[in-house]
Amino acid sequence: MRHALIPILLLFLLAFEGVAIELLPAAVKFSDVYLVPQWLLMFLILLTTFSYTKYPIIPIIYGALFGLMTDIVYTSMLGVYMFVLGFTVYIAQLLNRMLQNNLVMMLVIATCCLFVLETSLVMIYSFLGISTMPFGQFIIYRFLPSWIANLIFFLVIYHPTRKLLAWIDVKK
Amino acid sequence: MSFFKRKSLFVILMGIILLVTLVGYSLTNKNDVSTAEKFIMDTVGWLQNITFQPITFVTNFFDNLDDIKKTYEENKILREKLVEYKTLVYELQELKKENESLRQMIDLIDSPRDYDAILATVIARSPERWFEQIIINQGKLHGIEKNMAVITGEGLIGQVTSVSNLTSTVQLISNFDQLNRISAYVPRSKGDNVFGLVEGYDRSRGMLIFRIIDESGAKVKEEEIVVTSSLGGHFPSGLMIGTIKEITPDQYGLTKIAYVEPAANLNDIQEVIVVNRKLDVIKDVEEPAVEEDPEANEEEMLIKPEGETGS
Repeated sequence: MRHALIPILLLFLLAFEGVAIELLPAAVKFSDVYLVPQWLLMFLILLTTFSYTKYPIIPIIYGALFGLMTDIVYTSMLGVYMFVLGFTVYIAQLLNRMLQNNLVMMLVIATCCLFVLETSLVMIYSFLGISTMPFGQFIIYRFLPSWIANLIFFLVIYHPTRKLLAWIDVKK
Repeated sequence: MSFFKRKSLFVILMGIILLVTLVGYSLTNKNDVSTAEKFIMDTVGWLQNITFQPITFVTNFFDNLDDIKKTYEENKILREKLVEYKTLVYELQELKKENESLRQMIDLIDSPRDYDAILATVIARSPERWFEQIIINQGKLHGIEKNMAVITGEGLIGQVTSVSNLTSTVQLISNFDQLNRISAYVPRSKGDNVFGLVEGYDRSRGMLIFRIIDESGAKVKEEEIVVTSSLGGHFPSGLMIGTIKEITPDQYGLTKIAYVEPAANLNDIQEVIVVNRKLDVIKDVEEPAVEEDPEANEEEMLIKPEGETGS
């Protein structure tokens, strides 16, 4: 039954992403700097590293499912987050096999995943004509600030999530 | 290549096919949200609602502390203004009565200016900044429908794009494209209004693009205001959009484009008003709704082709 906590947590993260953006001060919210919370991805990276190691498909399914929900709630373009989030969780699993599971390596993995996620998003959205941002600007105004903000979030949730996942897995 | 295994490559390809299908679906189907989508929007909206309220309570508390310091001076000024308002209210009532009686004389009950206001609070904003969307805490149960105009006290900010039972999504005017143009005009006191369409948003300038269609009357000047027109079929007439800051000929030199600075502050939106116009809304049905007054019928004829392309 404890496993049911994971989708509930993901749902909360999905809802809070939008609320957090709304609560940012207006000077930040509408400046040239794009702060994009990717909290779902941060949690999914921890999930795929410390839990479900025997069933690697489950985090990918969570990624696709909650990606689709992000599409429905926050964007009017279905399918984009679904594919990109699922794919990025898969990349995280590949990196996990190559790197060790300590905090520094986890930060490297989070950075790589964030880069994959954001570049695929910007590629798909510019292909669809939604974003018109050149790649250099995207790196400076969107990727770097979002990267720092998300890494801070990652560091904050790292230990609590690890303990929580260990507690969830204890009976198995 | 061992980096991608054959099986996972297959899954990724399936994912790409699904992505293309879903993108195609959402590009073509702009009319309605399915039940599953509504359910998810409601669930997330409910969560956002219950978390947003305590947080704003706390932030408001600190804001209030700041406000208390200024209260005494503000109170003085407000008292003076109150006296002025009392006379204004009396005048307004008189004018209202006169307006009503005049309208009854010409059998016009609902003017295109009339609307019902539904108050709503912004509970979330799309984290994906390229979609300038906000989510408000009022939905179908509160009487909100698709395509209604959304304003703040200062002016128009957007349009409702999808509605679930408890929440609805508002697309801000800074994200408007060719598919959702707003019919607008520059009001003039003598009646030679200049009509046009708000076609989109120039991000580099931070201004709306207003294409002037009919400039038979006097020329448009800078610093004139632009308001919505009821000819668009969904909005009431006379909602403030913004002021003209710059006028240039378009790329073919046939029409003129005015750049309009939005009157409302699009960054800091907290409380909004959803506008439900009293005049019948033109829906995408084959049979046009029957209107009593000839003017409204004329409007419909003008609207119909636009409505068809929009669907």
